[in-house]
Amino acid sequence: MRTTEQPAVPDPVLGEYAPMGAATLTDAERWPTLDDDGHARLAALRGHADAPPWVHATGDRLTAADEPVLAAAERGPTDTDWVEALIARAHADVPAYRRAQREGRSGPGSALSELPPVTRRHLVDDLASYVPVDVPLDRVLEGSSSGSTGAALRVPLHPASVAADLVLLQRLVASTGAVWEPDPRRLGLANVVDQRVAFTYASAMTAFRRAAGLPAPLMARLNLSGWPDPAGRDRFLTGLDPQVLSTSTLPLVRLLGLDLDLHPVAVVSGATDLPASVRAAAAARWGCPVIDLYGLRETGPVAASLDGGGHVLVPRRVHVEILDASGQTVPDGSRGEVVVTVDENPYLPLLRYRTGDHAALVRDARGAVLVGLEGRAPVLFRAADGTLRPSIDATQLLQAYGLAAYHLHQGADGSVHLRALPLRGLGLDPRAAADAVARWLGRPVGLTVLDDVGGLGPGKPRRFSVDG
Amino acid sequence: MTADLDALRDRWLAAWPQALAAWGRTSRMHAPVLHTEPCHMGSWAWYATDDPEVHVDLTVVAERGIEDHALAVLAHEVGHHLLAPVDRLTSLRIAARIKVGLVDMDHLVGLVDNLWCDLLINDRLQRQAGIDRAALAQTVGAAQADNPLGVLVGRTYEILWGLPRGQLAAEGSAAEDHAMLCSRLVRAYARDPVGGAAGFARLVRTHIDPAWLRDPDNGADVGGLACGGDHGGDDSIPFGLASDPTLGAPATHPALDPRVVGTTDVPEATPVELTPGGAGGAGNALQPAALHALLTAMGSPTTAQQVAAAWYRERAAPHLVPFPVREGPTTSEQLLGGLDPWEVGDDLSTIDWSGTMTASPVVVPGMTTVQRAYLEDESVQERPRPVDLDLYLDSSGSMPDPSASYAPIALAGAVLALSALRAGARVQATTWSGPGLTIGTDGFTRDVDAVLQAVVAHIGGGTSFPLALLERTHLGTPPTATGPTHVAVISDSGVTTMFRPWSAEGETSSDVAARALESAGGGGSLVLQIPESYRHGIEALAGDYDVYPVTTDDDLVTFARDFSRATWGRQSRART
Amino acid sequence: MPAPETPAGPALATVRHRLGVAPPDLFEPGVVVPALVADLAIELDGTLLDADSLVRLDDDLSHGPATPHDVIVTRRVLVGLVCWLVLDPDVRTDPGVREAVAQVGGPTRWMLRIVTDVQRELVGLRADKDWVLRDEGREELARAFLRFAGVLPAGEAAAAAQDRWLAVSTAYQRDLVRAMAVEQARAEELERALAAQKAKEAAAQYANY
Repeated sequence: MRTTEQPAVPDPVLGEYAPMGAATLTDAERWPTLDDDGHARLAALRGHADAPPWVHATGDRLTAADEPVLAAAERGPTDTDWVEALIARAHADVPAYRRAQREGRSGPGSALSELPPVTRRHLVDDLASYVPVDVPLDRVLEGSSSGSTGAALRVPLHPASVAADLVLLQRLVASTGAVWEPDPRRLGLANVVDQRVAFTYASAMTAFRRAAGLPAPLMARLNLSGWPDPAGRDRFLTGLDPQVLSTSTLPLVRLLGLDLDLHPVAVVSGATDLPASVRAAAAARWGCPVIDLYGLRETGPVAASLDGGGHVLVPRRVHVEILDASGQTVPDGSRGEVVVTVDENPYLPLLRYRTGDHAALVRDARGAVLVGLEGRAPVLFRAADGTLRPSIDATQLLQAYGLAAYHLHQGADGSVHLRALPLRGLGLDPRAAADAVARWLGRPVGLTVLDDVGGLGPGKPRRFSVDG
Repeated sequence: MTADLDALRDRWLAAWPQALAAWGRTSRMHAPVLHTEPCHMGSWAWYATDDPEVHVDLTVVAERGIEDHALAVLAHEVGHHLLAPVDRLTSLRIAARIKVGLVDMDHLVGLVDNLWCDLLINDRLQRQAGIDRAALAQTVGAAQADNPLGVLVGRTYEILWGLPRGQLAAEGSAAEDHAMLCSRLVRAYARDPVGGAAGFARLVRTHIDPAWLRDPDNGADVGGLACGGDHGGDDSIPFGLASDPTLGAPATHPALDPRVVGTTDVPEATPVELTPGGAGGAGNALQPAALHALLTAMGSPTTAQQVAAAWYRERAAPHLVPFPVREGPTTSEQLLGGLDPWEVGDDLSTIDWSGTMTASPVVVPGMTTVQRAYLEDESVQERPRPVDLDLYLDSSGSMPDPSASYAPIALAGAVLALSALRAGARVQATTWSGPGLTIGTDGFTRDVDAVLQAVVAHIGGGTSFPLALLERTHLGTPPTATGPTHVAVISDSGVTTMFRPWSAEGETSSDVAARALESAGGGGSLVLQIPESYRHGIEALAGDYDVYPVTTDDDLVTFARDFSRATWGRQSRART
Repeated sequence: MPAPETPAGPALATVRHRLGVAPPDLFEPGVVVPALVADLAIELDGTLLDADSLVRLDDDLSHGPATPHDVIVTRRVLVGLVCWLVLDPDVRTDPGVREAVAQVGGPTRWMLRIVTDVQRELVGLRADKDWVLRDEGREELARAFLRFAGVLPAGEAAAAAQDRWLAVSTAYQRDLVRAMAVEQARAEELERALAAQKAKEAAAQYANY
């Protein structure tokens, strides 16, 4: 593995991005079911002459016992009463609902609409109250989510539910008519980001649904800014020609701009709004379907747009309501906050989770469809040298410097101002966060220290904005 | 108004004997201090552990309309002196456990500590002494829904005393199970305020919105169930905090505490990581930095160095030589001698004040002070002067900062220096690191505090033994050492710079250390944390210095203890 | 929780006091408790208990293959103590009790219900004599008695009576602390699991959201 050329971590608080700073397992633990041939192919990928410096090593952690979950993900849910069953089970096993039952606020027979919505804040403050007490924790993985108010949320993930995302992608790709079959000459999937620092790694997709005897395709998480030499990056990408490009809007735009000779079977975009122009450009360039996937780390995938015409609920145990500002359900077709009930991750079933995103819900032949989904707009800041920098870089910095909530704004004249609510009692100086942003953009950064989250204005605090 | 307050004062004074009697024992506490001018303490009553005393601000009493609750207020404050926290040591032990339970909320230690003590006192008064704290609390008003800590405590009282919901806490805003658990905790630890404190703090920290807890504006209003707390002016560091092996132990959540929930209801033993014991570890004792943070959280202005000095002094105590016992004739046979200088560090009671005032009308301790010397009768066995100690502690980059965490070298240094002082010797203590980097007493002294400050100092730079100081001390004209002196160096392989210092030309040879040893006349020891295999190389350099390699931290302290006994203990006298 | 319109019965102190002066005979193994109940029924309203009632009572109070000896003894003691409370003239003549008796259809049915419910609720929770010797035991039994008698302690609102019952109910407290212990142990286990290096390394991700 090549890790030595990795540039120094750009900010002292981002130490976990030091090469292999978070990798501890053996490869046998990372891919318990991978055969020798698979390990050999993986080693070849890691050692590819143009491979990027890998910042991390991680696998899918799947065991044979996970197969039923993956098979179920391939079929999609067949039961129709799973919400009622989840409500009953939550009152037996999920501390928050056990407590509600003890205090007579709700019970196993309560209707979904009688349960109070759960916010991100609930999970940040008291995650354990939402994790069932009866599920063995020996396979828990830590996922993290930067979220909307700034405070990072740790999400307990299960290897099988993480891997079920891959099975879902296969279903979605297949539903467009595209063919995604193992091809040993190509990378099966590239998860492409473009950040100042990011975890990059190579893995084998043992969960990939395939005919018996075919090898597990490989995948890699790649950072377009993570190669010391752009030519090497371009050779790596064109040489391995990923079958599926799983990415988000800004890296996708950058990838289109690189003008490489790629032939993806499909493009999957997530995390941020996918403008029609970008979708059209990708479809035109590669002649493949472009899927916009909507979800949160807490909930997993919720809905997908195959054609830009609304996000259809994905075939998982996921149920969506739209609530108005007072928490009341609105009629179909009216806009409001997307509230998700989901029972896929055994460590975090959620009843009425408020996403902070907004849409209207309509029902048509495709099923339940979220229309006009918004809340995921990507933001680019202009550095002093004229380059555009994605807000995700700032998210990493501002969270690492202990800000509870913040709003980073760039005016039309380029001036930058940070309004910050520090985590109190930790003795952290928000000036240090502002200084880190100043180093990042090469511009002075004004600072306003807030003393409560109300200082960011009503509703979902916008974390990043740019004028002009 | 003043006339009203005077009348109020008389009424409250009249309630005092009953307030004392509520605790069912005779107490020697003097009458409460009843202020009729505003004191701005944020409460109507408070207490002081340093001078057992109860204070009441009658202007606040009148303002909050609790004039008729004299007994409840006064008996409560008496409770602070008789049940929790009683004295400053216990107060800090409770606070230490509260701090552990709060994890990262040091600013709340004082408040949560006081709420906990108040819970124990009030429940005892209400249930066993028939004193109506509930009525007082109701008069002041229920905790509001936006005060989750007040609501938890208020609801706990309601459960403890069977009061209807809403009387002491806004109805419906408390987590019923947490309040129920808290009430069980109060009963389980009714007589053990230290034992239950961490669990209470843990409950608060685990279940109350951390954003609310972090907000410095919250918690200021402790409501009608708490008093103003301890407002003594005592910033001392009581003996007993540094070596208590329980104060730093992890906090057990009350739901997992067998004393609270019964032994059969704890699902499984929660793994508790215990620090290994031994000379320095001492179980889960507080480290110096944790003790300093505790004292800071409790409002004490003590510095990290002062805390460290007290910490090592306490930890050294069990290893010190016994106090010299006079053998043979008793003091009655002493003969009055002349006046000797009284130095800082000497027993205060030995100052001869008439002699001192005669010498100079302006008293400068250690400069103009004198003490009476007592001559031993000729028949008394001659008591030779103990050897002085010239101590050098290595504080280069590889050594831990003694004021942050336990540093064996500092404890060993403290054992040597304090033993020497106890035997009547004088000490020059020097902590050294790179060239020119030393912190020390700069001369011989009997001032314990000055010596300890030098012992706990931390530099953390390069390694270069302070030969110039050694030279000045023993080879100067005149040398600062005035009698037989033992030179002790605690270091590692960096001790070679004592014999082969670095100069502009590179490593050179120096005979200063050898000549100083000869002049000092009390021997020399190099106590070195080095592998045994280094021993011969260093012995070859060290000449007449004795080399003592030690391998473990505990060995170092054991060596210091044994060496001190041999050098300054009673048996050694004949030898010197 | 008792309905808000539940009638107020005797004062709690009355019932507690009555327990405090319970005759020691009730703890003697020789007492034939079913006979005591049958006698009480006759005394209350002249009812001769039908065979069914007595069989049910016998099932609860007799030795069987499945019921350990000490449980039977404990049940008998509790039934004896309830009978002792029902016999109290201050209880029987209380207007609230009369109302509750009328609601369930007569004194014997009322008494049988308390006898059944109290011993089922309290069996095994305390040493037999603690129900009369210890303050907490008397309080719990007195509150259980009034609760199953269909009345509130005099001077207590339904909500307050409920809260106080929960505060002294050994069974409720036991279930509560068990549940909380499970939840807290689990929270600490989750904290350790998430902090473990193997959790930190996470797993390969296929999609961004």
